[in-house]
Amino acid sequence: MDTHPDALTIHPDILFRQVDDEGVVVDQRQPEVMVINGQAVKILELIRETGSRKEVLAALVRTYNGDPATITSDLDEFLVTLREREMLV
Amino acid sequence: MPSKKPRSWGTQTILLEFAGQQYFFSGLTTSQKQRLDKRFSCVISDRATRQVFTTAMECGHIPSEDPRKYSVNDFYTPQSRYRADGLDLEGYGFRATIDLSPAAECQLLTGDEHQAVTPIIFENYLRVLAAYAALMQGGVFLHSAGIVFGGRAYLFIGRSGAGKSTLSRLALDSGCTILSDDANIVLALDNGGFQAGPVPFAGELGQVNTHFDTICPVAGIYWLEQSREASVSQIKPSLQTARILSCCPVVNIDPFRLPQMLNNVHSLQQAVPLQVLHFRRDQPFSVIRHLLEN
Repeated sequence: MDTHPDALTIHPDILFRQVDDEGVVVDQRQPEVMVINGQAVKILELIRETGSRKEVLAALVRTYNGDPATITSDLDEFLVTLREREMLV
Repeated sequence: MPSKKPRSWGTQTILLEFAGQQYFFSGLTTSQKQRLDKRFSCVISDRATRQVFTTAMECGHIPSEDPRKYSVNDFYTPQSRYRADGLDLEGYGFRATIDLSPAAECQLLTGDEHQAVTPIIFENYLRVLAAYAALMQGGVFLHSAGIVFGGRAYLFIGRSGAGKSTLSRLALDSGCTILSDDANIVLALDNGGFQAGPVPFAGELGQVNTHFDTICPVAGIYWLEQSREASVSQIKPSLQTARILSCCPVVNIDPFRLPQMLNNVHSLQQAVPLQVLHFRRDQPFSVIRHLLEN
């Protein structure tokens, strides 16, 4: 049984932007500017568009055509990082 | 009991102009005007010719506070509350309301006639106005050293202590013009390039530039890194964005203006990519100049 919460919302103080094949995240609470890789930008965009872990996961599997178990694991690891940094509400 | 409505300090006015923008201040006393005339003599204008930021200087009660209330990482940092149409500023000895709507008037409220025109209040307030003026003109207010040689401006950014003032001093000693060793305004040109001009803000070096008609195309922007040998290296666009943005004070944490700020930074780095300048503090400036010009 999937125990991960499905609803995902990016904290309103977090802004991000794709720059070439990478991206930047601005955490206005610190303030702090971070560089993130292209996959992280893609995930943040999907979270903003869908607000759903299941839909983000489905879109990633379609996009990257990789092993679903690996993609799931990578996504959940990234979501843990976002939650640790309180970038999700 | 109704609160007392703020009133003007006096009836004098002053109009300042730099980096393509004019700033009009009303409600000054004669003494305040004299102090500002002296401090900003290089940028006083006698005629409003373009869109003007207007500020009413008001006198009112400001509670006495511990200055440490406004300290962030040991740097004096006024507190900002951002709104869709502007922002409210609160700092040691002042409160300000900045309205970014067209033809709006801003207010700078202080409780002490002398203190109102000191650098910690007036100049810091003017810096905030200048940062928003630059943003609205498609440019950026960059915490940087600006050095001119060969008719072109070179901007240097970096962490605190990276060497902006040291580099500026070396450049000044070698005969270069210094726009500012602390903050510069970079504005977009019609041809896609960017230009920088003098601003009345200075760091450790003081106000060394008195030629306020110097406007130069920006030839390079460099992140300073100390090293044994002088060299220039490239960095990825995302890191360029992050580093430039981190040097755009006030506006880079304004949630209402940050998307515009990111657009401006993107345009700037498209025209003038940020590079890294590795240099040694005791290096002759001629070595650095040769490196950057070639």
